[in-house]
Amino acid sequence: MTTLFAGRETRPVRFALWGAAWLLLLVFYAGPLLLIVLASFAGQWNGALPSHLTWRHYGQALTGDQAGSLWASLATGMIASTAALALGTTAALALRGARPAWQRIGSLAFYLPSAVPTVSVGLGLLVAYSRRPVLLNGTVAIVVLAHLAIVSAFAFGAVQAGLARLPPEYEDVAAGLGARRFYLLRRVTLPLLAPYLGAAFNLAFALSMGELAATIMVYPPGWVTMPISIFALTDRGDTFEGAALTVILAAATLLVLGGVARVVARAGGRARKDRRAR
Amino acid sequence: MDGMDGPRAAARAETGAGIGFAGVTVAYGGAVALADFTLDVRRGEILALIGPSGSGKTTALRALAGFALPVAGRVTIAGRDVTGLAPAARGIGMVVQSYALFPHMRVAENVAFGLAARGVAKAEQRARALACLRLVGVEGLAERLPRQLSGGQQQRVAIARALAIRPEVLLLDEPFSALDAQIRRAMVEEVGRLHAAMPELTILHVTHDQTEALSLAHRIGILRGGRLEAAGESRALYQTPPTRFAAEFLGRANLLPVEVLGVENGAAMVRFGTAVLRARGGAGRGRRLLCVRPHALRLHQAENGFAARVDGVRWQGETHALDLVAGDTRVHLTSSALREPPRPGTMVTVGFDPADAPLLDDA
Ligand SMILES: Nc1ncnc2c1ncn2[C@@H]1O[C@H](COP(=O)(O)OP(=O)(O)O)[C@@H](O)[C@H]1O
Ligand SMILES: [Mg+2]
Repeated sequence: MTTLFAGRETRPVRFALWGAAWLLLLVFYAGPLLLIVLASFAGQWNGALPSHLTWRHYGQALTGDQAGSLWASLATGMIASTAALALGTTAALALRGARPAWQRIGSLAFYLPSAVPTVSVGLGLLVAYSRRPVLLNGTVAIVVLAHLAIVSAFAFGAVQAGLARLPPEYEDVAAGLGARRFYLLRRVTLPLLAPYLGAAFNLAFALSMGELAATIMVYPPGWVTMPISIFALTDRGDTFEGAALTVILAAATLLVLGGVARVVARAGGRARKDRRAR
Repeated sequence: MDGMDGPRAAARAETGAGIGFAGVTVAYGGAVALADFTLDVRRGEILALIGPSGSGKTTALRALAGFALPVAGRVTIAGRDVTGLAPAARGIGMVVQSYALFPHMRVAENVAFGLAARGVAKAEQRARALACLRLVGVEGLAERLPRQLSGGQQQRVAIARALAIRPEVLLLDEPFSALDAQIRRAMVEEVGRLHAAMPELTILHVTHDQTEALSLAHRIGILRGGRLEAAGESRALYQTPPTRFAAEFLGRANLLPVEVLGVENGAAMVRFGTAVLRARGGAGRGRRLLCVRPHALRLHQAENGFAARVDGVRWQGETHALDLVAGDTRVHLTSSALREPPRPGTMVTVGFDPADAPLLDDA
């Protein structure tokens, strides 16, 4: 990568590289997305392009059997990623400075659920919590738990990467100036980590919003997340409605990610506003 | 350098112990970074710790500040053993090479950080932060963010932040190395001024710039491979370096291989090639090194001199630098700019005052 894009190539080569990158993006990412957006407005789709464009599918997607999906997904995503962030941050902070052996064991505990197929995570939870003493089968909690198990590895990983990149001088200087452990954490370490915390939350949230395999194993009747609704709609042939729900899912996810980015900018940098004021 | 010695010595408050290292050894996973390091810095003294990269300078500071735990030895501040104390409890102001200003806090908040951590009331925090900023001449920047400052301004803020907690000890770890030459000179003067205003403050100043060390410090310690190679009053160490390493690290030095013949009228008689020269003091006989600084050599001086061939002449504005060869020894000479510098290839005589030429062991 670094040698390819080091800027030493000739112009035609660089254009060719850019062209290839854009093409890939278009074919595998923008293309399907565009088709989904088109489908979500389609009254009919017989020729090359859809016809009888309509908002109807959106209305149905938000009012029919799937009306609760948006809420279920947002709530699950929020709770699971907040918990994953808290857990991942605490663990990453605790493991920092621990013996290498402990660091390995701790990391393994976090990474294990992300290493096995998500459907097995769902199955595992189902088996484990369908009997006494912990009966979670058929509750919302087991859905949140499944999401937490899957996304916390990514939150943990993002925070750990941030901590590894934090220059030690900041904390050293702060400690030297008299900051005790929690004061230092609150006023220096966490603010400096803010971009990584934001990234950790975003990653966890985006993953949770799209999670299907584990959720399908454990979800109770009253808590159908968006991916499950999309799957169900498409499965019974309501493709356009499924497409509308997909667009809503993507929009809701992007909206939350954007909101997090703003919060991070305010907490960590306060940079943009000030640079303008200067 | 010369004129400053008097006031500096007077400003020094030699009223007791400042910093003490006693047999301090620090190891990073088996590799010894600082070995049996013993050094005392008096209260109110500026001590410069110099040495090549990796010689253990930062490690010594970290041991004092509490970030590196010695495997042996003790560290004291103002006579108090702080070896086992947490960094937060040591009351040390520290300025690191990268400044490490907290990027998410304004300048005033940065400077007040240590006070806030100690629970000082908000209003007093602010007043003291502003006073410290004024002390280093940047009170107008209180509301800026660190990223909006130049390197020199960040440096000043970092010093203000360290001073705000009114530390007994100020640690400077290569604080000026990222600044360009002109600002660096200004900062060195600034620290000198600060110390004159706070004569009680003990300063441990790590640098690899020997000019900086010589112009700022009362005493200098030279580290080499984790060990203290030499320590002493700045001027004495420069004029009479105890070892070859010290001579070459603290300023430039010509080290001429000589044979000591004896002592005559308090001066050592030595043979250098075919010339017999007088050198400073020193008993003993045999092979030694004669240490004479480039600027102590006088061109065209036959008295206590030797012959050399001119190999190169460089004009450097205020000075001329001459590369000479005597026998098979290269000799460097600097003088104030010459009206008629000798041409390369010609022979010249160069001499020196015996008082400027101590003898060293060839080790
Ligand atoms: N955190 C560390 N872990 C391992 N080795 C280190 C660490 N810090 C410094 N060292 C080693 O200790 C020696 C002294 O380093 P240091 O005190 O930073 O030198 P200086 O400040 O004089 O350049 C070097 O050999 C360096 O590689
Ligand atoms: Mg260093």
